[in-house]
Amino acid sequence: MTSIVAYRCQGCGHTSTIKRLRCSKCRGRDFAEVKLEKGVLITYTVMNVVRPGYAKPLTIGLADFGEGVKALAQLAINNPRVGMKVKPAQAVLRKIENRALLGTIFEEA
Amino acid sequence: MRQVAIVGVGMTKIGKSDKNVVELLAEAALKAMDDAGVGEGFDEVFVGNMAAGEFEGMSGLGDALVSMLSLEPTPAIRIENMTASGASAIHAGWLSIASGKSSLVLVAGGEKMTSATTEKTADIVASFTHPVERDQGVTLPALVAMAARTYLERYNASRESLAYVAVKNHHNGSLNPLAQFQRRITVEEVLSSPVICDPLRLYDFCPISDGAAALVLAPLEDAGRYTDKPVKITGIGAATDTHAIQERDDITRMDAVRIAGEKAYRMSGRKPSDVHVAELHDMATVLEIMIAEELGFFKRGSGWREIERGAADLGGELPINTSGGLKARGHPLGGTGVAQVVELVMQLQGRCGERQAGEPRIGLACNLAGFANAAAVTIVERGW
Repeated sequence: MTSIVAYRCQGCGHTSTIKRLRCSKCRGRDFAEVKLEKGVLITYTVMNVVRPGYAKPLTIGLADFGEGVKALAQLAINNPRVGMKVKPAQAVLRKIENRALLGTIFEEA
Repeated sequence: MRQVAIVGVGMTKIGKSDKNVVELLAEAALKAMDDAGVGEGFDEVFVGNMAAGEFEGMSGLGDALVSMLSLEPTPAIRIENMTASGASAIHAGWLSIASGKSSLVLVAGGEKMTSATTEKTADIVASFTHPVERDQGVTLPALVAMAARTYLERYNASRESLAYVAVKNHHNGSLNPLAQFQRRITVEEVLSSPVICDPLRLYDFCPISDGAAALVLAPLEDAGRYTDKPVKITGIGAATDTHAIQERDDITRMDAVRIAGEKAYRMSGRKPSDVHVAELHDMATVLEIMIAEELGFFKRGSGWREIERGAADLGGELPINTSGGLKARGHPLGGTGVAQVVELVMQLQGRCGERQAGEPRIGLACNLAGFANAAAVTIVERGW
């Protein structure tokens, strides 16, 4: 099962998908990786203007994975709805001159 | 700390220009110098610019500007703080005078954007985003659109209220000879324009712009040498927020704006209800509403209704974006923060012609960096 990696502070437990050198809550410096597997879509947009190398239209969304941990990713979902359940999946994010950038997107759970 | 006054202002026409960024900066700077009646004696020059390297392959804007104006050997540096580079350049200029280090400072902000395609421009602007989010393809309009969806749903706000911000600002722009757009639009036109990032449409967003604006700063005690109507900088405040948007508790909240505003209010001893005219960073319609709420002009969740009923019109209780705002005046990234203050100075001095909003004495500008990744607020008041 594909998951998103998050970083849990070993001092206070605060967790974020973004890697920092110091915890934003307690300034601790030790983190453990945790896996996020199920989220709920908070908001999204379908973009008709995209940056070079991205598919058009491109749908991106923000999902809540619990404990206040959120992640933003492309959605491989045709008719997204706020409140729907999503799960991470591997996909090509961007393609420039046959060079593909692989990453994690969301699909319907 | 000494009190600091703005003693001269200048701005280019905003829109599509054949000039490069240095030529635009120099045109605005010369206007500001002529407005102040001063051609020599600058102690420092600050240039607000976000991305001349990316747009035009240029660095060294400070030296280039000084040289075009024959102001060598005045020291000159570029200030980069994303789309709030202009306001940050003003704050640097303020500090230089307030600290006693300088007695005469030139601040210029500008950007040349129209040589790039829309896609390339979106890419350059998105360079402020966190790599984790940038890889996903986010653009600034996409982040704003996601916030707009949540704002509309949470506060049961009407889609028409967002469109009204564009209608109002185009009306104001039609009265500003230097604005990019001179054409008035209707709510229906906004709501039938192409979808850029749903729920936001083409006319919800500011255009891509070339242009520059400039200020001459001096100690208030010396201001009489340059003008009968000096405008005091009484409050400045700036703040940052998380680099990645997914780390924020609430996508509709802009803590950097709230905190920058609180700092500027505290420094000036003013409160939101004291402000007579405001220039807010309406890169998209919904942002004017969200910023106005963060700065305390309207209760949270009510800004859409207040602005739709005319509270921010030229004749309203608090005219917002009398210049046309980013939406209609245009948004040459690093130039915007300076252009906002140019408008406030002209409003305070009663120089705005058909778009003059009464006789304001206190003005506030809020310049946003990225998706409120940072914000800079400046409060100005009549100094005569």
